[in-house]
Amino acid sequence: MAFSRWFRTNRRKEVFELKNLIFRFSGLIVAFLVVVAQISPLCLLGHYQPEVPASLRK
Amino acid sequence: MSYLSFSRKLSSSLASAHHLDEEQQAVLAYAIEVITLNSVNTLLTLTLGWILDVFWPTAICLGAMTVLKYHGGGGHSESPWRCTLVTMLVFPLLALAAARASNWPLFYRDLISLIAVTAGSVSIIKYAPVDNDKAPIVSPERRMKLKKRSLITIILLATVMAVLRFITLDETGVINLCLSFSIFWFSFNLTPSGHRLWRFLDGLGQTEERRCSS
Repeated sequence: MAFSRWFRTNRRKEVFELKNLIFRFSGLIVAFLVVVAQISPLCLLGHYQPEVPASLRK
Repeated sequence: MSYLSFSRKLSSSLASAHHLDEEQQAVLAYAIEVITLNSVNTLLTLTLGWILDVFWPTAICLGAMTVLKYHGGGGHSESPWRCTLVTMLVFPLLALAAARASNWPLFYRDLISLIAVTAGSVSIIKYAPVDNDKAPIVSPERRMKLKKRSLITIILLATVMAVLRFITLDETGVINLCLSFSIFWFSFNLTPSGHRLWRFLDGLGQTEERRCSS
């Protein structure tokens, strides 16, 4: 009961804070994704190859 | 660029937050897809391996295949979900086969390892690196470099197998056979027969009309 009351009153605030947190670290996420894209132009262990963007083709 | 909807949505929200252009958005979508599909493949494969009581042999097969495929490429499926299904079935089956065959006499196990390394080396020299339309290898120098690296990888694996051959632990037989069976699967994927198998799997359950329209 206490948790549901807390959730109802704080949900918007929590969601806003979560979005804010994701936005704050999105630069790091983008940098991480660019590094991953650079190191694996050929597929790793599966047998499906997503289309490699033109700028990564070597 | 054709990416799955979740990668497109996520990359577009990241790109709009950082004012990235279309090409940079495609790079993000590609990275998201690589991370997600490889994680799902690994998780499902290891889970099935754990259910079949061959978790570590499955992990060894996956590791060997990853280092080999990273430089050598191989046959591909057009569908990520068919690829996931085959991957999650093949590696635990290779691990199960290795666990069963580890009881065989040493002579037969050595023979399997020898044939695997020979088949792997021949198929690398003849076919590697195998690219495709979605990930073409543009530069001939890079092609040569990947072939050399594939050969170095198989020499390293053969060295590991030779060292393990003389270590008398229960597990070494299973590890050697896992490496051998992974090399067999990798070599098969380099050959035209491997490509035919993937084309056959892609065509399963599709009517002629759907195949033409896709």
